[in-house]
Amino acid sequence: MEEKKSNKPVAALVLGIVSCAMTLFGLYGSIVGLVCGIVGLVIAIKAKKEAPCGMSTAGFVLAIVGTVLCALEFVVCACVIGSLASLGSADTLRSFR
Amino acid sequence: MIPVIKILHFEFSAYALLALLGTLVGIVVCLFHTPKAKRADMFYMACYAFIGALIGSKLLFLVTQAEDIFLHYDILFSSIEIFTAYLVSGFVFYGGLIGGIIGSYLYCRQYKINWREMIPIAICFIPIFHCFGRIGCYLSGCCYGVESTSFLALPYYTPYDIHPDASRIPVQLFEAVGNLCIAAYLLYRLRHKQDTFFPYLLLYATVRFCLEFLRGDMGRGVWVLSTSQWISLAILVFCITYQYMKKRNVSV
Repeated sequence: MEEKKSNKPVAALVLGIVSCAMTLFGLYGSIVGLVCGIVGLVIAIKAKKEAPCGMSTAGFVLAIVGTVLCALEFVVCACVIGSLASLGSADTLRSFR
Repeated sequence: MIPVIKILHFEFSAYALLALLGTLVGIVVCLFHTPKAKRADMFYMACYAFIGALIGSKLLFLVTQAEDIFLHYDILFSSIEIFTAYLVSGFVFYGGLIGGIIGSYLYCRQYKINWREMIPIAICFIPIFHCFGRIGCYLSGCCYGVESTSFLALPYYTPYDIHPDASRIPVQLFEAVGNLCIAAYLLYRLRHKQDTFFPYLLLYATVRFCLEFLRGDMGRGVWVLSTSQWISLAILVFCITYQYMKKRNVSV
C-alpha cells in the first residue's frame, strides 16, 4: 500500500514564496506577506519535524526570509503614535508614507 | 534623529533594521550556548517566540489605546490609510515579552520538549535584542525622554512632541546600557549553571520602573503610573511571591 504523502512541505514552500513576493507590493502587500510568512513558518517547522526533506527546508528558509522582510516594512516604530485624533491630520499621515 | 536608513536605493526604518540586527546577535549568542543536539529546537522555539512577540506586543498596544480607540473609532475606520497607519505603528515591549514566553511554551508543549531546560538559555536573547531595539528607538525619534537642562540631557529632535527641538534625557540609551548590563550578568549566570529567568524579570522590571519616570511621551499611563510601570510592579510582586513560596516549600 502506498504511504500517504504529506502536503505540509508543499504548503510551506508556497506560503514562503508568497510571503517573499508580497514584499514587492508595499505596505499592504507586507501585511498579507507577514500573515503568509507566519503561517508558512509554523507549517514548515511541523513539516521538518514529521517529514524532513529539501522542500520543507526550502519552505522554512523562504518563510523566515519573507516574514523578516515583511516585518521590516511593517514595524515602523515600537512606540505609541499618539492619540487617534491626531491621525486625522494630513501631516501625521504623511509621516507614515 | 535618523528614522530612515538607505541601503542600495532601498529605505528601511532604523528601528526595524536595528531590531533585526539585535535578533541576529541574540540568536547567535543563544545558539552558541545551546548544546549541539538541541540547537535545531532552540531555533524553532525562537521562531515561535518571534511570532508570539509580534502578536503580543501589538495586542498590548491596542489594550493601552483602548480608550482612544473607543472614543475615536470613527476616525480609525474612516479610511484604509488611517487604519493601516495605525496597524503598522505602536508595539509595547512587555506585550512582546509575554507573547514571546507564551510562544516558546506553546512550541515546547506541541513537540514535548522540556521548556524549563530551554528557557534559561533563551531568556538571554531578550536583553540583547532589547538593547539594539532601544538604540533604534533613539534613532527613530519615538519613545523620547523628558526635557531637561541637566548635564545628562542631549539635543534631540522628535516630531512627536509639541517641543520638537529640545534637550532631553536620552532615556532610550540609558535603557540600552541597562539591557546590555543585564545581558552580561545573565550570560555570567548561565556559565555557572544558575537560573536566569527570574533574575531577568526582577532586574528588567526594576530598571524599567525607574526609567519610566524619565520618559517624555505623552498619554502613556493609568492613574499615577504608566502601563509599563504597573506591569513592572506586577512582575516584581509575582517574582517575590514565587521565590517566597518556593523557599517555604523547601524548608517544610
